[in-house]
Amino acid sequence: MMEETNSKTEVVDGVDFDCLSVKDLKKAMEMISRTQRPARTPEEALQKSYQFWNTQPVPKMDESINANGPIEPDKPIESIRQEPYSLPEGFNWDTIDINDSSILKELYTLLNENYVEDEDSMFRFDYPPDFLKWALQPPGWSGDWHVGVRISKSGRLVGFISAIPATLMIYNVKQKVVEINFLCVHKKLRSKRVAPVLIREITRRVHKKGIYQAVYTAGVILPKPVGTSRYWHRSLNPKKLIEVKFSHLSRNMTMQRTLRLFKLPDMPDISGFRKLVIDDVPNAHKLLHEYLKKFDLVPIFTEEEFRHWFVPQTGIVDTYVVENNNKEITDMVSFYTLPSTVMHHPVHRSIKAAYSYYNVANKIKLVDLMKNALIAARNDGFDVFNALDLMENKTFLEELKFGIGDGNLQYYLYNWKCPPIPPEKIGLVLQ
Amino acid sequence: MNSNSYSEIERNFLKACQYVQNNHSLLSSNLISDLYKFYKQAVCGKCNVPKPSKFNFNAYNKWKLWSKLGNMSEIEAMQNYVQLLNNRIINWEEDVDSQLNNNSWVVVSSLSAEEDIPESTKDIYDWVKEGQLNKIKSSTEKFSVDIHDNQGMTLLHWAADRGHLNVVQYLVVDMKADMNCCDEENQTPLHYAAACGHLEVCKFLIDFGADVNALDNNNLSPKDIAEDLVVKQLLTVDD
Repeated sequence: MMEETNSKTEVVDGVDFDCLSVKDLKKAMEMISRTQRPARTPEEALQKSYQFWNTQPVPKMDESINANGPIEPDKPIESIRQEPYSLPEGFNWDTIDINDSSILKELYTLLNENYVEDEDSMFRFDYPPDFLKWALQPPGWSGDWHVGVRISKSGRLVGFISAIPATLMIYNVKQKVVEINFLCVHKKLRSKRVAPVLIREITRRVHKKGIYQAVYTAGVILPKPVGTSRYWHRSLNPKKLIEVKFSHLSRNMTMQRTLRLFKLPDMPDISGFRKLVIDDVPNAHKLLHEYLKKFDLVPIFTEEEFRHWFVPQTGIVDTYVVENNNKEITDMVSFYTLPSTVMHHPVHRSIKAAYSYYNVANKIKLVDLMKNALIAARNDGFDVFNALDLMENKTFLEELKFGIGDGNLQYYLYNWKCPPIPPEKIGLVLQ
Repeated sequence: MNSNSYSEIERNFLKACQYVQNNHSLLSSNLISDLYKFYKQAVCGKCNVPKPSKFNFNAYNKWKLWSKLGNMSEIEAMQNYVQLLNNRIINWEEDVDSQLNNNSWVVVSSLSAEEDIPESTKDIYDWVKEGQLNKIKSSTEKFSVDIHDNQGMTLLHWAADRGHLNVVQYLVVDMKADMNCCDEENQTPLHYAAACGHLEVCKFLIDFGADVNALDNNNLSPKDIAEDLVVKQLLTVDD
């Protein structure tokens, strides 16, 4: 370790560096960190979290990578650890059966109250129970991969992590992976370092089924993002967004002008623009499959998976297609629904947000297609339409009056090395 | 040194140290030992500790790298440290900021706020826009209530636009603001409140005699530009 991290008398690899003028340095560093916002979890936690990632098959932060392939070879199934990793005293593993509505409710409560760690955040994700079923039970899902941690005495659910199967195309390599999502540890347990155990345990369970790669996204920076994208937000209900401080009026901007600025036509105006129905699935599936070939990190959906992810379900996912005069599907646009709880507001409880999912502009210009999606979402009572700056989204964001968000989303691959992928080459959206 | 002042160099250096400290285990050992020598030189100056035994390989190597820097100045060492990090880690500076601001796995992104206006430069118009009634009341700044700002709006226009009922009340009742003053488009405060759907503000203005039939430059009344159905109805009943 370098001695920046430690006390005034340091023994570094046997050399005694006593009485160094590190004191002044420390003082200055404290000053700097005081002028910036303090870290929200103790620094030791951050330090330890990196110590954890250091043991995992992920690239180093400063590694330059030319290869495209696994970091570690596949392990023979029989060499995989048989018994679960051990939890701190007083906790036990439990496989979470989300088909049981009371257990699903427990999971919902855990995520709703603890998923976003930030104590003073103004907004929290509020994944509805039906949304969780959609996100956690795609074709090939495994109950074993819905991993919970309970307090042994009370039985209370205090931790969760999930994996679902997926197939990715990473550059030109087709790879079976899992998508890791909903890593959540109860606020009161943050100091117990349960998250690394959850990650190890889900890894073990995934290995047992012969899968050795994973993809996940996070707001935080870990070793080492394969790509970084940024959220953009398009106000559909600007007055409410301003009232809850999701968006802000600048000094010289009137609300009247703002409302006019974000006004949209009453109805979608592309002829043949309609909701996707089951019968469209084979054609829409093909359309998306062909389109995604232009990106370097994309999912390969089977038709069955496409049906799961794209057939509209109220309050979960919406897909619209454009049908031409010959009854052919030429374009599609989709978004999923994810409300956020508004904290501490006298009137508003929740923001209804649409998240841009997968869009294929073929015969219609993408910007026009997205404008129709905005209109459809506004008519369905959404307050805001969010989109990442990946795929070809940068071509419409500014024109359609999206504003840049304050959050980055980092993309990660586990046990995979490949050169970094710029956002316009990322063709993958997780929930 | 050139254009960079000492304090700027020092600031960058300390920030870089912070990055290295936070991300220590993610960096390659080669980079770490290269950074190490500049760090020692910057903080301790010329290598002044006894040579460790060659059998203590790590310690010996570190000592050797450091002592090779000879009389390199503190400034130069700090610059080298930062330069090395710049060359090897893209965006490390952004990372420090985001690590400080965000240790969560998951964040709900919201629209980036514009720069904050320093409190000291705020004037009565800012307090009105922000709905800070106490600051308006205690303002020592002398203001005449019906003055139009550079956008042609009075304080009451702004209060009606933002929907701050208590400020509207104060301006009308206590400050005797002109209810039917017009901006450059001939819009009254009621136009603003109606267009923005501020129901309570509309009610108040109507009760205190605002002209519901005032027409702006496009010949539109407050009712015409109201989007909210309840507000439209309110303005119709009084028509």
